[in-house]
Amino acid sequence: MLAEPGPEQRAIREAVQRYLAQEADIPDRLRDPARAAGDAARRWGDFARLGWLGLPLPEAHGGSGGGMAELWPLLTALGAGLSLDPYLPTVVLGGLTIARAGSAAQQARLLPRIAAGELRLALAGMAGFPGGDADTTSARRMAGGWRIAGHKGVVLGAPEAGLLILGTRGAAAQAEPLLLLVDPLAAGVTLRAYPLIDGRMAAEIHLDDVDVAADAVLAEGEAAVIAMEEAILAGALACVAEAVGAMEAALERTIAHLRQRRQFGARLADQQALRHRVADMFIACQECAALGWRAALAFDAPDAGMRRMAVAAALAHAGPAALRVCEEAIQLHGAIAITDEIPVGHYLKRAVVAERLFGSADHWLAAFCAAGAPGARPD
Amino acid sequence: MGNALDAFRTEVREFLQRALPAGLASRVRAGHTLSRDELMGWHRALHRQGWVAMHWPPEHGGPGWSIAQKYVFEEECARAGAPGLIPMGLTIIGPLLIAFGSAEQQARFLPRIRDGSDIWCQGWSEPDAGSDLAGLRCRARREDGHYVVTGTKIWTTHAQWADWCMLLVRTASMGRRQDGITILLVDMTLPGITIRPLPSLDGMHVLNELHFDAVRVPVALRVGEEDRGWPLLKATVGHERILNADVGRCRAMLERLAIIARRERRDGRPVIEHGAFRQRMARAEIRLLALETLVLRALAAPDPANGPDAPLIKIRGTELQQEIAWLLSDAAGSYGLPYHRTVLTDGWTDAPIGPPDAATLTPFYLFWRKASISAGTNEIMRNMIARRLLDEPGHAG
Repeated sequence: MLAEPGPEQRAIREAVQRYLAQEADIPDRLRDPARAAGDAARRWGDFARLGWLGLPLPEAHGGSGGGMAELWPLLTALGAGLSLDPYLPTVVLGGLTIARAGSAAQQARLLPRIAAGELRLALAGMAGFPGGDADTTSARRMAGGWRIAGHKGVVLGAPEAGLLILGTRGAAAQAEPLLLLVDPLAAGVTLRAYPLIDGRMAAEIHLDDVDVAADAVLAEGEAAVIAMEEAILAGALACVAEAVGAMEAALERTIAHLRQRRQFGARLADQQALRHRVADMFIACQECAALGWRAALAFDAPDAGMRRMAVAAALAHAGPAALRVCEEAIQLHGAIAITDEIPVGHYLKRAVVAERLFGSADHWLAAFCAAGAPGARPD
Repeated sequence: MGNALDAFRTEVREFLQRALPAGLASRVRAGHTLSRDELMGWHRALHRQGWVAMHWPPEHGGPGWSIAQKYVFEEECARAGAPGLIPMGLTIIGPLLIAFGSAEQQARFLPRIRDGSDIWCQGWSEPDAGSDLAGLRCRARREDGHYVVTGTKIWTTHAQWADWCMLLVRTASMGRRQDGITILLVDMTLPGITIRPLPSLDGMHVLNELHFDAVRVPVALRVGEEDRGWPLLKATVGHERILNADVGRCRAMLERLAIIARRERRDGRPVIEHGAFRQRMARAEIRLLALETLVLRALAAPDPANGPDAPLIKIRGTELQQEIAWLLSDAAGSYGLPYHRTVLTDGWTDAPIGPPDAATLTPFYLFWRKASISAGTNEIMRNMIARRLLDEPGHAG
C-alpha cells in the first residue's frame, strides 16, 4: 500500500494550489461579489481546460480516468484554497454518480459536458442517508415517468446547477428509492438560494408536482440505494480532503503568525506552551491526512465494505480534528481572526461544513463500529 | 434567607413580565443580533426600575443587592430572555469613575451612564498591543489645557454607537512600559476621530478600528494622574472576568439546547436520543454546576475582582459557553449550515428555511470563538494562575 500520495498526485495538488494562490483572497471575494462572480466563470473554464473537471471521469467521455487517489490531492488543494467553486457537487457527487449508475446514453450525453465545463450539477441529500435530514420528498409513478413533490432544505451547488440529481422514494407502500435527473427550470421546481456559512452556494428546493420522464431515471430500487450510498461516501471523503486542506492551511498561517508576532518583548513562537500547541496541530494534520489518503486508496479498491470502513474512520476522526485545529488557529492568532479581514476564520467555517454535510462524526463513528468487529484487521 | 430571596425572585419575575416586551424576548431567545435601540430601550426600562447599575454602590445609584440577589436577578433575566446590556459603561467606566474619577467627572458621567444617555466604548487594544496592552503606542501630548491624541485603536466594541470613549494613551516613555499611560474620556463627536467597521466571522458589525488624528481632549477629562493610569486600569478589569462567566446565560443556552435537541431529528430519531450527543450535553450541564459554585464562592470573597478565582472563572465560563454554542450548532444539523445574513438581525420575513431558530446558531458559534480571546485571553488567565501557584512565595502547593 502506498503510504502517501506519489509524485504525480503531489503534482496535482501543487498545480491546483499554485492556480488558487493567484486568485483573490476570500475576504476580498466577500467584499466584491460582482467581481467574484465573473472570476468564478473564468475559473470554471480554466478548471475544464486544465483537465481538472474530467479528472475522475471515464476517458471515453472526455475525462482522464483518474481515481480517488487523484481526486484526493485536488480536493485538499480546493480546501486549502477555500475554493467556492462547485467542484464537489458537480464532479464528485454528480459526475461520479452518473459515471457509476447512469445508462450508456445518459453517460454519453452528460459526462463530456461536465468535463468540458458546460454543465454543473447538484445532488440533493436523501432521507435515510447521512446528511439527508432535510428531505421531505416522495414520488408517484405516472404514465411515462414519475411525479415528485416535497422539498429538500440544503442542496449544495443547486443555484449554479444545470441539472439536479434528486434521490427520493416512491409514495406507495413499497417506498422504492429512486435517483432522478431533474431540470431546475422545469415546471414546479422552485429554488431559494443562499450561501452556506463557508460561502459556497446552496439552495432549498421545492418540488410542486414536478413531472420527470422515464428516461430521466438514473437508478431505481437497489441500484438507487447503492448509487446513493456511493455518492455519500464520495462526498464524505471529499469533505475529509477539504477539511485536511483547510486545517493544513490554517496551521501554515498560524506558524507564520507566531514567527512574526511579538508581545511582551518576545516572539510568540518562543513561548513553550504555544510551541507545544503548534506541534499538536501538526500531529493532527498528519494523522488526518494519513487516514484520508488511506480512505482514498480503499475507495479505488473493489471491496465495498473496506471502502465504507475507511471513509467512516477518516470522517469520524478528521471531522472533529479539523474543527479543533481551525479553532486553535483562531485562538493563536487572537482577535484578528475573529474578523473577516484575514482568511484564518474561514478555515473554521469550511471545517464546520465538512464535518456535517454528509453526516456528522458521531454518525460515522457508529458506522465504523457497525462495519466490523473490534480489532479486526482490514488488510 | 429563603423567604426573602423567594420574595425577591417573585418581584423580579413580575417586573420582567411587565416590562420585558414579548417580541424582544423571543428575538433574544432566537439569538438575533439586536439593534442599539432595542438594547438601550431595555437599559432604560431597567433604569426606571432602579435596577440597571446592579454592581454600583448605593450612593451612586446601585440597588444595594446582596450577592444572592444579584445572582437571582441575572438568572431570572436570562431565563426570561432579557437582552444582555451593552456592558462598557456599566461594568468598566462606571466603576472606574466611582473609584478614581473626580467629583465633576462622577457628577457629569455617572447619571448619563445609568439613564442610558451615553453609550461608551473602550479604546484599549492596538494592532501591536493586544495581550501586551502596556505596549500601547497611541500618543498624547499636552498643549494649551488639552491632550492632543494621535494613534490607532482596534477591536473596539460598538464604537459605531458610542458617545464617549475611555481611551488609553501614552503620555510618556519611561523605564517600565506600564508607567506613562494615561486614561482619557473622549467625546466621540470630536473632530479627528474616524471609525472603520471590522465585520466579524458572522458578518455582523460589532468590532471597529478607531483612528485619532490630533484629537484635542480637555485635561479635565483625564481620570487620575497623568502617566499613572495603569494601576487604575488593573483595579477595574478584574470584575469583568467574573461577570463573563455569565452563569445565567449558560443555563439559558442549555435550556434552549434541550428544546432544539428534542425537536430536531438525525438518522430518524431526535438528536437528544443519540447517546454521544446526550453525554456531551450532560458533561456541559455538570461543568455548569461546578461553575455556579465557583462563581458564588468568588463573589463572597472580600475583593472578588482581584481574587484568585477570577481568572479561573473567566476560563471555565468562556470555554463552557463555547462548548454549548457548538452543541447548539450541531443540534441544528443540516439547517445549521446555511448563512442568512438579514435573518440574523431582522428575523425571517419570508417563510423560514428549516426551523426558524436555526439561522443564528452557527454564526453565533463562530463569533463566540472570541470569548476565549477578549477581556484577557485564556492564555493570560492561565499565566496568572500559574504565577500564583509556581512563582509567588508562600504557596506550598
